[in-house]
This record gives sequence, structure tokens and C-alpha cells, in this order.
Amino acid sequence: MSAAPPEGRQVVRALVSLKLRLLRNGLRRSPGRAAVYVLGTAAGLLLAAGLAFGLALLNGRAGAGDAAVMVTFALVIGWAAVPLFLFASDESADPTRLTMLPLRPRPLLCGSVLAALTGPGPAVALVLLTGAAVAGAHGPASAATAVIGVPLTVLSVVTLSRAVAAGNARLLSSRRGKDFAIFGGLLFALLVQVANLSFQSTLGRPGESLDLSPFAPFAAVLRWVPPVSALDAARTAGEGHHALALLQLAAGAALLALLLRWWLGSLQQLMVTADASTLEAARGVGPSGGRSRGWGFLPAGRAGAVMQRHLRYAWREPRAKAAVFTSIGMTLVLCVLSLIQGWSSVYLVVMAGMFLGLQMVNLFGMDGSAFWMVAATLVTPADARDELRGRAYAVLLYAVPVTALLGLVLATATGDWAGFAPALGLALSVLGCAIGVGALFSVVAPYAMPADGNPMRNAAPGQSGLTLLNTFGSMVGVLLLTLPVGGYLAWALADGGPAWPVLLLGPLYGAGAAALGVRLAAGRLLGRLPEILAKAVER
Amino acid sequence: MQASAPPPSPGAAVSIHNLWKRFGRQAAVAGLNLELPAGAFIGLVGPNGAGKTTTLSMTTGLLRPDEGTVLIHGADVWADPVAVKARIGILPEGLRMFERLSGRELLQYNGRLRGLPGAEVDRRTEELLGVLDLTADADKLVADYSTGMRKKIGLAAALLHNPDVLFLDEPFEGVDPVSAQTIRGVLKRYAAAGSTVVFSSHVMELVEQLCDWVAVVNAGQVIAHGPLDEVRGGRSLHAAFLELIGVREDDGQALGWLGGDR
Repeated sequence: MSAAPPEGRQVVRALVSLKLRLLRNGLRRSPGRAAVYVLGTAAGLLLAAGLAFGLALLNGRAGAGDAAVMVTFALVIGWAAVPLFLFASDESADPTRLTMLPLRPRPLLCGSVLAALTGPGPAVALVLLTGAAVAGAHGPASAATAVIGVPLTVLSVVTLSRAVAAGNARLLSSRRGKDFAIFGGLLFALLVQVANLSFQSTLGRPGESLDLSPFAPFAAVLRWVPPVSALDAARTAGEGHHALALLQLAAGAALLALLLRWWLGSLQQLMVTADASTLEAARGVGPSGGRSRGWGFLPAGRAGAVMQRHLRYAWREPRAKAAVFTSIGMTLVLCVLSLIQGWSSVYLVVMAGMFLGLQMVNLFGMDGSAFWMVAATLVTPADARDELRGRAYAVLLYAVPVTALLGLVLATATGDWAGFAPALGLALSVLGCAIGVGALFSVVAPYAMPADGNPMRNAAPGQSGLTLLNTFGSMVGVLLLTLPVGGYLAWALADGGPAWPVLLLGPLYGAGAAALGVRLAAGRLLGRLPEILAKAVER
Repeated sequence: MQASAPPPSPGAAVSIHNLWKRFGRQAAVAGLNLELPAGAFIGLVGPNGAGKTTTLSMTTGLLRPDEGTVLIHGADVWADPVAVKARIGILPEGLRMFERLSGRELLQYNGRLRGLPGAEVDRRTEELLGVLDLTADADKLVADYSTGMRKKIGLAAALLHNPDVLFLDEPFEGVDPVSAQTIRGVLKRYAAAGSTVVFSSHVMELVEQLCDWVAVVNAGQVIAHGPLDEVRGGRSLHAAFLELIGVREDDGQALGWLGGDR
């Protein structure tokens, strides 16, 4: 019996159970992962419930409806953006994996909608949106409208998310698209922080009563934009404008229909085109002339080659890029936060020194299995020193300017120019110590990166001890090492001694610590090459 | 055919003695002995899991053996890596390269890690790219290369410093016929100049065409080795291999429905 194309109902059931199966098998891979998933889901639901409860409490206040509109809008943006940088990790969202199966588009769409609605994400959205609907609701008309409006909005955001994913599947499953998505994700995370901070600064002044009026002008426009309109219909109906509420619901339904249509179109397109990853024509990186073309500043020999490769990776390789840019981003967010909340200090620049210096940790784990190329060419102790020196220079090349620039910005923002010199000195000594400690940890305790493409996960499972040792061990080590400089500075600040020598002392001390760390690490590197390679292979 | 403790013969490019590697309770390589003649084109054949990759990794200094010695032109790989590393070229299987470099950048990086002068690196890089038919793709990232192109750029990186002995793990796996022909041409030229090539493969026809010397590995040990004609003994290498490994003919009774009435 050769099989006929399966019936619609079968396809729908198969797709939903596929989603459940993928979820269950993903969890089965390790108990830790299952625990994290359950805890994460519970935390997400609790947070959503808390937010929903808070929104519901706003009911009756001036601007409660506006707040609900803003929350709904934020949720919509979030759902639209999520596939752009989580696409690679959610197999069930990738329609290109189903192209080999004899599926008709309509059952496929139906099954995909149901599969997309399965899982904790839509549940969180449902809870949150229910709270938002309650915030602006008033009377039975509101309740009746919300019964339609809330599910309609949930369905719309889920469909929006999947339609965006399917519409961009070709881009997202290509190597270039994935690389782009990572940067987009970082940017998005930063934007979320900025939005969060600006919300807090306009609303969250402690001691004052909650003033929702800043939302009003935005909400006045956004409430007419579907799918937000479908949710706001509950408020409109409660205020007696039944026709307007119906119009808002209709706009929401129309958008949903359009989104489904777009999704269906994309699915049909994807089902008849070849695997997207092979279609994208690869572009070159431009001719490279070794040490010429702007690379002339590199030292000669191995150190220069290593440095050039490291810098190219910091820009081109997703994991390396994510590591560098999150460390800069984290420092920036903290600085902005401190400025807004008024506890800023020029000494925050020390954090930049720490985070950027710790880019030296797990150097060879970041190379992954490509470390064999390094291992095969490391012959003499001088090679080992050059290898580590080259990488240290590469980190210094971006760490020193970023630290100095951040110091200037902080000094300008806080007006503490007297503290600038010692703060920068301390930061540079921390940077140097971090480079030394990082080099040593790289050789002594490397750990593997995960084999999957997600650059935000920075260790393969089953190595929690090693990663903890690396993260906290290196930080504690750096703090202890910098004690002499920090101690002098503390004494100078407390007893009124001169603080400026730290600008000289710090970099010198840091350079010494870095050189010592690199030397010690290089001494052990040659003897540990196969052991490091065995640890570094991604799994 | 195996001696228990042979003195390394002076003409040997590689001599492996009592090599062991265990992963957990399973021995991937179990007391392997092998002498590979210099200047030969050598094929290492064996079924999946026979220990070919593990053996090659230990022979090239990438995996530390539990026990045993490996000499390359008389120098101990594990006691004297300085004398060995500059003389060998490696193309491993299953390990990545620095794939976010372009093909040209990867070769330049490798050449400079090897300590070759910059101008010489550039000259050899361009020549290798040309011979391996990669010039048009030289500025694309290796991450965007096809399997055949990856093997070719890996081969170029392994040849760049003109090693005495070249170790290639499955150099033809997943490679299209055109690229395979290019790789064969380069390897033949390299071997004709008196260098030693050691490569592992599943493809018996290829080994038969290219090699003048073969070693058959099974369950972590060498079960046959010698000049090609000696090992195959009048049969095809394929038949000789299956017989050596002891493969049972499967008549496929269990799949009676396959190809029957639909």
C-alpha cells in the first residue's frame, strides 16, 4: 500500500503532537534542562499573573486604559521580534523542515496555529492580556467584548509571530541571517532595557502617587491599531461606545485574517522552494592582503597573526561578537541606570575593565574544535607565549579605548573630574589583572561551548562546576590581585593622600600582572595541548 | 604479520608501537603496531568505529595515547613534538577550521602560525588556491564553503609548509567527483616528489587506485598490512577487505515486503 496524502484532520493532530513531542524530548535530554524549563515557565506565569493583577488593580483610575494599551502594544512588539532572534532554537517554528512531506497548505496552517498556541508563551500572553482588559473594563458590556477581544488578541500575536518567522524563513535559516539575528537580538535586549529605564524614570518615582498621564498621547493613537484595538474594545464598550468597540474588534479580526493570509502565502511559497540555506549566494569578505590594508599596525610573526584572527572573530563570529558586545552593553546599561537613579560614580568604569579583560577567559573553548589548528602549530615555548600575547593584545586593542571613553563619559556625566585619573588607573589595573587571570584560566580550566548555534548559551551542559570556577574564580582572582592598587586608592581617598599616582601605578601594575599571567599560562600551554583540545570540542 | 616489539626500521616514515586508547571501558585502539614506509602512498582502511580516526589523532599529536609510542622519521611525537610538528601536515575529520575566515585568510593565518615569511606565505597561498580551483571563492568565508571546498582548503592548509608526511582523515568523504579529482591530482604530485601520504578511507576503489601500500584496521588493531597487491592477493581490495573483517552475507529475508505489491 503506498500512502495517499494524509487527511486534514490527521495533519493537524500530527503537527500538534509533534510540537508536544519536541517539547518533551527537548526536556528529556537532561533533568537540569527540564527543571530550568519548569521553573522558567512557572516564573513567567507568576510574573505575568503579578503584572495582570497589578493592571487589574488600576481599574477605575485615570489612565488605566492607556496603561493597558501600552502593555498590550509592548507585548505585540515582543512577539513580532521574538522569531527574528529565537528562530534557530525553535524547530517547530521552522516550516522549511516540513517541505519534504506531502502536506496541503490549509491543514498545515491550521495545525501550525494550534501548535503555536501550545506551550507556555501563549498562556503567559493570555494571562497578561486578561489583566490588561480588566484594567480598562467597566460593566457587563466590557466583559462581553473582552471575551471575544482577549482571545482574538492572543491569537493575533501568536499568528503575527509565526507569520513573521515564515515570511523571513529564507533569511533566518541562512548563515548570514542567523548572524544578523544575533546582533538584532542584542540590540533588542538593549532597547528593552532603555524602554524599561525610561518607564521607570517617568513613572516610578518612589513616594509619589502613580501618574499614568504620560501614556495618554501614545495610547490615543495605539488603541486604534490592531491587534491592540481588539483588546481596547473592552474599555470602549464599557464607556458606552458600542459601535466603536465593534469597529475595534472588526479591525482586530481583519488583521488576523490578513496575517493568516500572509502566513499561508509564505508557507505555500516555502513548500515548493528548495532548502533556503542553499539558495543564499554567499558574499565574500573582500580581498585580504595579509598584513596590508589597514592591518599594518600588527606585530610581525605569530602574535600578529593571532591578533588579526582574534579581532576578525570578534566582529565576524556570533559567539565572540555576542560576548564582546554584551560585556560593553551590560556596562553601558548599568552606567545609564546609575545616572538615572542618581548613584553614579566615575569609578563604575572599573566594571568595563573587568568585563572586557575577562574576554580572555576560555580563549580556547571559544575556538572550539578549530583549536587543533593552533595545537598543530604550537611548537616552542616562544610560540606559546606569542599565541597568548597575540590574544591579549587583541583584547587590549578594543578594551583600552572603550574603557577610556567610558571613563570620559562618566566623568562628564557626574562632573567628577578629580576622580577621573584614579578611576581610569584602577580600571586599567583591573583590565591587566583580568587578562593575566583569563590567560591562566584559559589554559588550566577550559570548557566546551555548546554545539548548537545559539551564541547566548556560553557553555555546553554538564560543566557547571568548570563554568562557575571560570566565572567566579576569575572575578575573585582579579579582585584579590588588584588589592594593592585598590588599597592604595582607598587609603589616598580616606586620608587625603594624592590619588593621581594611581593613573600611573594602575596601568603599570596591570601590565605586570598581565605579563606574569601570560608567562605562567604559556609555560603550561605546550604540555596541555591535547587535553585542551579534548575539552574545547563543542558538544 | 605483527611483531611484538619491532625495532623501528630506518626507512619507516611512521612507526607505531603498542598504541592504546580507551574511552571509558571501551578500547578504541588496542595495542596497535604499524610501520609505514617512507615515500609511499598509504591507505588506512577499516569499518566505522575501527579506530582509524583515533589512531591518526594520536599519531599527529592531537590526542594523547594511554600507552605506546609513535615515531615520525625517528622522532617521538609525544616526547619530542618540536622535531615532529613542522614535518607533518594534518587534515582531521570532524574537527572544524577557523570558518569565519575566508579561504585566503585561513591559509595566510596558517602560514604565519607556521612561521613562514609573509611574502612566501602569500605566494604559496595563491598557488595552492589556483591549483585547488579555489581562487574564485578565496574571499568567501569557509563557513559558506561546500564540503568539497572545505576539504580542499583543509588540504591546502596541510600542504602550505611543505611537510614530509601528510595525514588525511577521510579526505574524500562527501566530496563531489570534480573536487575529488583535483585532490587526487595534488596528492599524486606530492607523493611523486618522494613525500609520504597516509589517508584513511571507506572507498576501496579509491584506495586501490591511489595507494601502493595499505593497512587494514579493525577493532583497534591492524589485521593486515603491506603492499597493495600483497594484501588483496589477486582479489579486489573490496572482496579482500570484507573477508578480512569477516562480514556475513545478508540475504535480506526480513524485508520481503520491500519492492513487492503496492
